[in-house]
Amino acid sequence: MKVSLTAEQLKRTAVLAKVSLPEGGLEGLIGQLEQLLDYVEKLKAFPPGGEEPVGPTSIPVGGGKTRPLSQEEVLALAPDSYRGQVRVPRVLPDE
Amino acid sequence: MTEMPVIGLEVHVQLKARAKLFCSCPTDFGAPPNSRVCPVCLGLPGALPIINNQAVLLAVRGALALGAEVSTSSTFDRKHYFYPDLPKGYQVSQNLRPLAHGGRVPTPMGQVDLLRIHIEEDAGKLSHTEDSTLIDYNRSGQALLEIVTAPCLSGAKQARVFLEILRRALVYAGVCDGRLEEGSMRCDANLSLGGGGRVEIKNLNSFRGVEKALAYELERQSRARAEGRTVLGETRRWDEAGAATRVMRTKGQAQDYWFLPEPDLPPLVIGADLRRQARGDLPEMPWTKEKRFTDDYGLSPAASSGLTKTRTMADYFEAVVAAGCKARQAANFLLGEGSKGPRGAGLPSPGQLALLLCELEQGRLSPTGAKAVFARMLTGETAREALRAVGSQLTDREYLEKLAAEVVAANPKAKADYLGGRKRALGFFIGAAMAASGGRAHPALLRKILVSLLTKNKV
Amino acid sequence: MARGLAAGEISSRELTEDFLRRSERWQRTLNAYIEITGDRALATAKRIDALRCRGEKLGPLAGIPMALKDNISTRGVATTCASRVLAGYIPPYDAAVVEKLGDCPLLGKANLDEFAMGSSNSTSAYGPACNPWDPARSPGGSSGGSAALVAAGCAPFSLGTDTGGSVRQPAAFCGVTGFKPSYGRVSRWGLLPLAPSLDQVGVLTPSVEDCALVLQEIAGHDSRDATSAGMSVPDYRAALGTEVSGLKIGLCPEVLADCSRGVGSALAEAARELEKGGGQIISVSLPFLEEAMGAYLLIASAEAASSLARYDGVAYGYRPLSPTLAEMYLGSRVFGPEVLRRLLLGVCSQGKGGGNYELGQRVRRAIVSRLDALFGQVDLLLLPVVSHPAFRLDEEPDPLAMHYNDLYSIPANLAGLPALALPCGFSEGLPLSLQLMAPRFREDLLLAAGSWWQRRTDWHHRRPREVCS
Repeated sequence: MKVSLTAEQLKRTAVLAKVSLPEGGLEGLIGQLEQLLDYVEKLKAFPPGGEEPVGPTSIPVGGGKTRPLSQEEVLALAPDSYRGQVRVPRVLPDE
Repeated sequence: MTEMPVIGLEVHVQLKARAKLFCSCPTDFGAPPNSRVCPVCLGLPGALPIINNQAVLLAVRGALALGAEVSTSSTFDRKHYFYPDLPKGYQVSQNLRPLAHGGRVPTPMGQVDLLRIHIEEDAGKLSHTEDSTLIDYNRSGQALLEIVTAPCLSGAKQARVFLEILRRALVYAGVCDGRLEEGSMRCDANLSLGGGGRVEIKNLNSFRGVEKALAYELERQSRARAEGRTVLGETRRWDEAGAATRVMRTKGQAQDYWFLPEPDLPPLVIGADLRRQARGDLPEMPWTKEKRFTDDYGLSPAASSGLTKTRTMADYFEAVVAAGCKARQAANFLLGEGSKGPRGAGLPSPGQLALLLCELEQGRLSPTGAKAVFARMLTGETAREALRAVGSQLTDREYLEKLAAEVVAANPKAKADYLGGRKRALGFFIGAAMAASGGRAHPALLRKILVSLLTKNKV
Repeated sequence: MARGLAAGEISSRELTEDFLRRSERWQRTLNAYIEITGDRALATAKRIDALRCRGEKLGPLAGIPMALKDNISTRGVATTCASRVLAGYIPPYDAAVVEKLGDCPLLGKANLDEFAMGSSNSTSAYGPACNPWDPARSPGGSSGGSAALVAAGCAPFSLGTDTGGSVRQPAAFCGVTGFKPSYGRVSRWGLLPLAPSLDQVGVLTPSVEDCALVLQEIAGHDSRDATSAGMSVPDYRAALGTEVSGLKIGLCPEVLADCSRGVGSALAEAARELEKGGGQIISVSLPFLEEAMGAYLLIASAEAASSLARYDGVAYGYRPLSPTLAEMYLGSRVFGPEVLRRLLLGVCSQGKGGGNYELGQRVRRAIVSRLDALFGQVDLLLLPVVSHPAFRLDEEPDPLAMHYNDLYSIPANLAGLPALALPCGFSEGLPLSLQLMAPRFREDLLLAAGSWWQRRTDWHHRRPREVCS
């Protein structure tokens, strides 16, 4: 079965991923994604097996000690800051 | 036709853990911005979460306190969305397999059933200037317990009462500090009315706010229905200043989340030891205590509720009763005079207070006198010392008659009022005579003498 | 080299200067570094020399310079992941492996595919790295820079990362030894994630012996990584002198048939050698390689989309001048086409309740249990790394075909197995490699077989001639 992806679906995905799509036609990108989605489609026929969790189970462990950062270090990383805080353009009420 | 609203709440409770959920940064309130931050809670690439066992213990204790079923194994999920307070582009939460299911909180307006309880991390704190938004990451990564109720609340008032009881229970259990002004409990509400759209209200950070916002929404929605308009499912926020809810997002522009099992954290296994430890120091819940106070001590529901506001108060009350004081006497005093003074460590020992209250009970001390004795006890005097200083109540009939005569003679106008039918003037005479006795006059006796004096002179 | 340092025959400073000079000479041709950190390297070298002079006890690798793939967090040194998105990001903390190798002068940060997504090193925002055997060809990816540097003799060893073959495939293309340890063996703290359930730090060296030395230093539990294995680390050097006699080695005839003639015959020859050494070749079938790749695509793309959600231009990294928040987000999240495609694939198949991640995990579990059963019959699996030698940079295959570069590598990532890429021949002047895979935490078996192989052959001693550009 051929998987198809519409431009509309692609645009919604881009909104969810917060990325801009390349300018110009989306056909190339859609074709590539369809090819990959098509490829993984065959997994649905793969017989199940194996048990639940992959990897270790955890018991709660406390205190992975992490070196704290100073306010100066935090602000040095930030593209923009103001009075000890990281600054971004204003969040609008509906954002 | 009035229809019952369907209300559900999602309550976010800050766990009283010393460190954040996934790193060792401290959680103290009011620190300078961005000074309680490390690579983990700032979401720096390559930093990894390690779960804080104190937070897990508190979460389990909270779930057990609310009668929820704690899962042996729960898992973490990443909830993805973009917002400037969310440094990783996702919040680590529990979606598919939460920490606990079920649970209930009794309220006078009926039991509130809980659907699920899970652990998640808090976001940073935003503040806004005219053209920009500022971010403080100190709160980012703090441990939260999210408690989701069934859509079973019937009104705004019940929502508020439920939250107050929930808060009390979590503070009892030592899970949360309950400091609402510091954002220790925050709430989202959802509400639908008679088949209308489900409206979610965000950013409710006071219990009064919850009540007001829900009342406003109920009113808005029933008016819309009365006018034949459809209520749309949407997300609104509570505008405290404008005392109204405002549209944030309509259904079409609903915020899209997507989830992924958190690959950096293996399942959270709650073993028998941890469960035992969490249950071990779990105190009696306020609603159980309240009922016991009413049943065992014969207190009024109001008095029981008042005394169980805090564990300290309830424990103190019981200790005073155990020391030999009558329950009702102790309740009246603690909810009256006792509630004005200091709390906790500042109070006299229960035995000392019981001594004072016995004097009061047996009429050897007037309420005014008791107040004076109590005040002295608060400065560190023992009950005996304070009683001696204030002196026992005066029951000397001759002295009281003399006192009454003086007071009546000095106030001819009040006397005329009383004789003219204003019975309230008696209170004035009692007060004046009591003051003249330094609070030591036996009140019932004094009253009797005054009444007979005033009526005798009438002739 | 380590012995020379310890004996005082050469100083770390001299050694570091040598490698820096060589690195500078090759850089124009290879573009294998994103940044050369000469000053920092020399400062470390001088510190180590001074300590050695004072007779302080030092670790076996102290003073030996290294290169690190630029997705490994280095405090005070830009860490770009070869992406514009991280332009200007200087981490305030070191990765666990960097802490452990703190006495190794850092020559520089090696080029890679953007966010380690790719098998060609051509998706780097800093331009492709080239293969020292033929600069018109790809060094492989994503750890292309790390492999090229070791192959060209610019660095005595380098670290890469392997999510779906990203250490082994470039090691094969460049003719060096490439080791991917078991998942959990080496801490991921400070490794910029691609797919956290698959990522593992790996080692690139000229020989298996060197590889064991480096692995010994970086392996071990880390309380900051919840997926790190708690078990103790054996002495890997102890495995180096042992024989292969008695080892059962699985080989899949269908896989050999699918390889280009050069790779197929080199592998058949290797199998014969192993048999001569007393190993027992057992024919096995691997009827799940395509499915493993499909599961990998789903899992890796969804986890990558999640891992990359943090690059929003808010608290660190690149942010253009943005009048509005929406413009800031879109303007900051400027990924290259390969990353964009995988990100969209991940969100598209997982977002909006697609649930394909769970499908991928279900298949993964099934494959893991089949591999477990397989390792009940054999001690090691013998596989190609890639079915062909390095491709030309101007002949890049389409996205799906590109993933086939990792067809034989991916099972080890899905199951968390250790795997080793070893040079095993040449075809038209380009190196060929075989791959050995072992059960989880049996790094020792791989090192034993690998060192045995390198005592028998000299493929790993061959080095490309320096090309001056």
